[in-house]
Amino acid sequence: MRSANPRLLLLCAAVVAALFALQFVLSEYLVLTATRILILAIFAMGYNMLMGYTGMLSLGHAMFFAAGVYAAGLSSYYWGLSLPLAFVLGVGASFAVSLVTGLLVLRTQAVAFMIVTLMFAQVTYLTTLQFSDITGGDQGLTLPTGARGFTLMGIAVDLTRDSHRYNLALALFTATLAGLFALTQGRRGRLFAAVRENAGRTEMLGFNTFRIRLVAFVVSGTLSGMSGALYALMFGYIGSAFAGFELSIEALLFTLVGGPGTLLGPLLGTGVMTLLIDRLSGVTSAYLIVVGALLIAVNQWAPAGLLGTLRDRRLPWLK
Amino acid sequence: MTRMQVEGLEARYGRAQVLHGVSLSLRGGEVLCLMGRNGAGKTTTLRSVMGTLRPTGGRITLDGRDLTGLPAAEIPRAGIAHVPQGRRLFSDLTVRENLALGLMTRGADTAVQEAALDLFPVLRDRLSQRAGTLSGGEQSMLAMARAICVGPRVLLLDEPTEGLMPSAVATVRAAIARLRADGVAVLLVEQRVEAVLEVGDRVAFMEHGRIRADHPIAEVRADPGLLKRYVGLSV
Repeated sequence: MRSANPRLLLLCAAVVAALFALQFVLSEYLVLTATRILILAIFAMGYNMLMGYTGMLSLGHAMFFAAGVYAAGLSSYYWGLSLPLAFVLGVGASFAVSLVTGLLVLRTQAVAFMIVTLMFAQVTYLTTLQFSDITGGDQGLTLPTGARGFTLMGIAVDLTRDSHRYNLALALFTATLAGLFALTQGRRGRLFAAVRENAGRTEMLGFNTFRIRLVAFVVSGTLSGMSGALYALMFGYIGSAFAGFELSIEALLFTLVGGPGTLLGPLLGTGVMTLLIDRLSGVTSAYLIVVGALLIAVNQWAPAGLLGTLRDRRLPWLK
Repeated sequence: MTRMQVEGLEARYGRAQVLHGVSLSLRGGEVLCLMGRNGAGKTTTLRSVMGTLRPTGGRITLDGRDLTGLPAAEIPRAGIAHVPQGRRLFSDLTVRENLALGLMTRGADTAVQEAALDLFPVLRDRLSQRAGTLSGGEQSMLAMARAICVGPRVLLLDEPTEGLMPSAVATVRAAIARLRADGVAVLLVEQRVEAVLEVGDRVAFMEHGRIRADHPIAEVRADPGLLKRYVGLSV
């Protein structure tokens, strides 16, 4: 089958190969940071599916991340579910939450959509606090170390080991990248772009725009939840912070910095922002001021994000 | 045989009724021109047929199938394509992507796209270019080509030659003539009298949301008073 965008496919393959090689040159601490970046990049890629490709700006994506965190984490903590099963449960829960939420919130658009998604996310956040005897609330719950290993097809995976965590995160990141490549660079990708540009015109061509937006919303929410489930199981901790407003904003920032509507933009945005915050927070307690100034600079000189601007000015295939 | 039948179509903008029982019929391979002064209801008639403005009364059939009340997204799938006034392209998408969206509507194959590009050969050199960067004439051609890619049985055109250079107008007219020869029924809203007289088979004159007269093109050519009476133009 002919690829829709062979140059982008090659670039994605090169990026994955480079990420695989990275673990052999980075220090233990940086491998841990890279693992976190890969998991959060999946979250940002999910967000990008909705905001970048379909043009819907959500302020409540932490809700889906939290659905994954709590479904996977609580089932492992209370029922002792094996990690693969807990992970599948986390992904399934976020799929269900995004489907039900999508059917409700997609009746709104633009600012109303932002407000409604924010309200749903705040309800989720407050629910995690209200039932703190189960969820652990702000304090959170730590998953027992003994429950953080599993065997899959004869391979023993120990999630307390950095290399295992990194390679598992890389495998899921690669699968997400491949899935999104197929979804966004093919026929359906054109429909998302058409809805982003003008839903009315898309409908006039005979397409059910509600269905298209629902598909984008559910894919986006499910990927966010998958990222959440992975984060909880990898690092063995669940807490209300994962349902907080700040996390929704992080997904937005990662996407904006990297380039909305570009496949690799969220990875770049997540990497740049995470490393920047990590480094700056070690230098000054006022690191958020510096981060803010850099965001303004990106907005001024690269308004479509780093890769988005490169796409607009030089490389149109970088989408 | 009648391809599309519109009977007693009524439509409102809020509380104001703008269409008062519009009736039209179109045969396959026929070009029906809809003429009238500004505000007569021509564009509203097209929008009501397409379902983007929900009619409050009347009936629309396509080859005997009742389309009345179908959601707007179902109308193109049934076989009616619309080129609205002002082109309405996806300006961030390339020419190729715009055409591909047309093909996806009814699952037409790429031969349909080739036929559309044969009508507008200038687009062949622009396939990778963003639609928003095309000239006005090229955008009009792309809008028509995209509608042709739907594989329509009826094509609604709303002032496709508006603001175009004479060479582009000639290309659009030639495309309409070719569609007619291929058996597509065309409902054309047009202000340019010479275009109407050249490509039209019949002319329906609209006034205040009603069809006032419907004449074969030969009668319109023979009686310039018709154009003066309903459109305020002399040939």
